[in-house]
Amino acid sequence: MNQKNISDLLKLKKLESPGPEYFEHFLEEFHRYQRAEILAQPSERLWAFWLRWFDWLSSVPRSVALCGATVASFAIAGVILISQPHGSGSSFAQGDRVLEGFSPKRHQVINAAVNYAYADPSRQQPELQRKVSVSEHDLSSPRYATGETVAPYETSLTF
Amino acid sequence: MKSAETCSDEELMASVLAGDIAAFDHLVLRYKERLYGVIYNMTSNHEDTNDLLMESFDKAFRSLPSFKGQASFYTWIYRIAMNRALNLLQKRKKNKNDFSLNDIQLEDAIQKEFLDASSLVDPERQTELKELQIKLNESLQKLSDEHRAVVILYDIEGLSHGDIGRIMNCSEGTVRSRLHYAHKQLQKGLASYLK
Repeated sequence: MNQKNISDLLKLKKLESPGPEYFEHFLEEFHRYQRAEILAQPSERLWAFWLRWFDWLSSVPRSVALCGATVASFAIAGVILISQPHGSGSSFAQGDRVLEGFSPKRHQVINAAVNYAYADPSRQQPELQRKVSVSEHDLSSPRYATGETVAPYETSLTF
Repeated sequence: MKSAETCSDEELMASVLAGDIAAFDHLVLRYKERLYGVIYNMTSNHEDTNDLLMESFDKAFRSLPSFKGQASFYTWIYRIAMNRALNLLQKRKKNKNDFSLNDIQLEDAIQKEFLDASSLVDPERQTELKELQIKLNESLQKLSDEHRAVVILYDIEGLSHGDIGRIMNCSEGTVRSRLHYAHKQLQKGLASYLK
């Protein structure tokens, strides 16, 4: 028996098959398999993520972890305090407080301006919002309200 | 407009990457039988073959965006399938207690068309063929995984030495030497049976 005989014998193996019925629904089975894999993935990834996180946490020294937690707490508290609006209530309520002490005409104009700004979120200017709530002295002469019409705000300019 | 059956593998891959996910189904239909043969001849187990076949196609689908086109689609997918099969065989060796040699199937149905065409329809000749089949599979199983892989890809699948080298990530010289050694071993294993 030589190598050619071996090769010829091996070629016979190409004729071995599980039968046509095996492949009849192969595509449907494959799609089912893919869907199952996709559904399995998110929870696996999340689980793997938490495992890795806890693993890392257990390797951190206790003192370092405590310091880190303290710093993080102060940072979060600071962010909350800074981002708190002065006084309570919504931006509209803030606007109402600002309008106290103005003449009715100016009251009308500023009210229209505030409504215009908050009607479209893209027109809100955080700097302006903060500055609106300062002392009455600064707000006594609003520079951008001309008569009955509302002048468009420019981001570079503030009260 | 070209039908999917006449599109080349590269055209179908481009369609998939362009968002036509259904084009991948045509690649699956095109290669399912060939990949089945490769994996089955490596593992000699239908259940494992079924699982690995699904895994291989799924892996190919997920990896399509990173396919750089340096190799043809069929060498690429053969490589995926072969790597999966080799990994499974490695695991089997490590977990010998979980896998029994009885799980190896040495005999599979031979296509009826072949039996009819070769006039091997009489029972005695069919029995001889079955025995030869079993003996050949036994001899193949005795080869190492790498030697069996090159024999399957060259003698059964008909791939070139170059393609086998790309699939197995080795040189053509290594492919030839493994093939030569594997054939010698198979000759020894079958010689006593064929005397």
